[in-house]
Amino acid sequence: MARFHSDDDAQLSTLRRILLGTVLLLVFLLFLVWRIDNPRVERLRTAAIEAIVPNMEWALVPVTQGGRMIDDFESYARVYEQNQELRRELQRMQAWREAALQLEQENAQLRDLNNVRLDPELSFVTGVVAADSGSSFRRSLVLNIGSDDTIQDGWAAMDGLGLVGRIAGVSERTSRVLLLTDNASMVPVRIQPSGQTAILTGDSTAAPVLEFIETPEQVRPGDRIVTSGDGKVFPDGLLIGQVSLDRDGRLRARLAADFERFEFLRVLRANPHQRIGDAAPLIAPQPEPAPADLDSAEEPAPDANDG
Amino acid sequence: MVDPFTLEIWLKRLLLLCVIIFMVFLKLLPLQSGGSNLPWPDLILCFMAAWAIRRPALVSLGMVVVVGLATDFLFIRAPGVWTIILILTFEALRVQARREGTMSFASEMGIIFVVFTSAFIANRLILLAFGVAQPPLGATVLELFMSLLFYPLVALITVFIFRVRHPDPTDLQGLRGRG
Repeated sequence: MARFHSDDDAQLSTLRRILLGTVLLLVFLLFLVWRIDNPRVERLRTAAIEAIVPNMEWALVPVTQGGRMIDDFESYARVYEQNQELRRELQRMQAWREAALQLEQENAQLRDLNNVRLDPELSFVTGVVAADSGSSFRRSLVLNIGSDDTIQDGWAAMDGLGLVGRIAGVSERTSRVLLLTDNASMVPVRIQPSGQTAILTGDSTAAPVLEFIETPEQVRPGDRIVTSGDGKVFPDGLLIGQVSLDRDGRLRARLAADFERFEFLRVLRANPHQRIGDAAPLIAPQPEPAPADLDSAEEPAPDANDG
Repeated sequence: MVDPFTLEIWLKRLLLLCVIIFMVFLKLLPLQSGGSNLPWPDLILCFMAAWAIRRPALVSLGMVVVVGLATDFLFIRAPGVWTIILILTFEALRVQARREGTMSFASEMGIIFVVFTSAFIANRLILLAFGVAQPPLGATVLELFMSLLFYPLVALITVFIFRVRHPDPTDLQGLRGRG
């Protein structure tokens, strides 16, 4: 059909081709800039997300409510069974509660004996999950707290039970949590009874892989996985989950946090790692004298005066 | 008085944009953030392709660029790569649609298969060439497969709900002229 108005088309298509070429070039330049100066474009991205996501909240409410209602309805359907189950669980839990109380007392006594001071920096900020990553291959979330709430890159995000991921990307009112299941996530961990260290690597499945275990024979399914604090990525000893064995015989982590549906996450205010502010000097500068040292240096002085 | 053809084109464009925004919104909802193994089909690509193959005028270059860049930024992809591929894909679809005119569903499926597959391969190749971290191959192939699987459904919705069809020979002049 196009052959009949070839004159018109020829002119149009030349113009079109020029336009097309220009647009392609510009978009490609954007990609190159992103590849070369990643942090700046990523900042642009967080700004874009910050501009859009808070506006989504009004629409998010009915949908999440709807999803929850469906969940609730499903559970109403077998309310009797659940009741029985809950009662059994309650009984079991009461036994555990007794045990926990006894342990707590014992723990407190031992702490008292040892003069342990708890780390005062381990406080947390709680945020509401505002959006998903949107991609099938990325596992991340957007929280509604940001640098206005003193959130910093690299802090650990947990749900009530276990580690969920770490903050990667902060803007004023939102921040992005890179989940443990994301491809880019690597966390140094320790497997509890044997003390083996490993790297927990996400592969976009629900259960991240445990890699670089020195003697895998000592690790058994069901062992506890906690963060090791190596490399100063996370504070030491945050619960991650349990070891499990997949069909290929690889060791994976069954995560303690409920990855099915997040609503609230707490972001731990502990920041053991060295911050990288610039893009260029990736080797961190010489550590300055830590504030803890200053404190201890000043503390004896008043004592001396008193004495 | 606005020309009814122009009005129809702009209304349909707006409709497509609304559908795409809805899809983006669905993807951004924090509903299954964990690790469900089955990747979703790329419904945005499916919808745009289903419209473009019927009425190339409805999927304009500007819309492709805006949708491509916006989704690149929102879905944490390397910004620009998928946009470039989308632009080339829809240029190819436009040429095909002009050459073929009205086509059977089988030949449409054939074109879609070739176009989608080459788009996914091109995406991986560009990312590979620039050393960008990529999702595992299996997952990408599965997403391509899901997209192809869902395409007929999207085409059905496009034809019977949104009433976007191959132009009749009678109103060919009016629509072609504004392509």
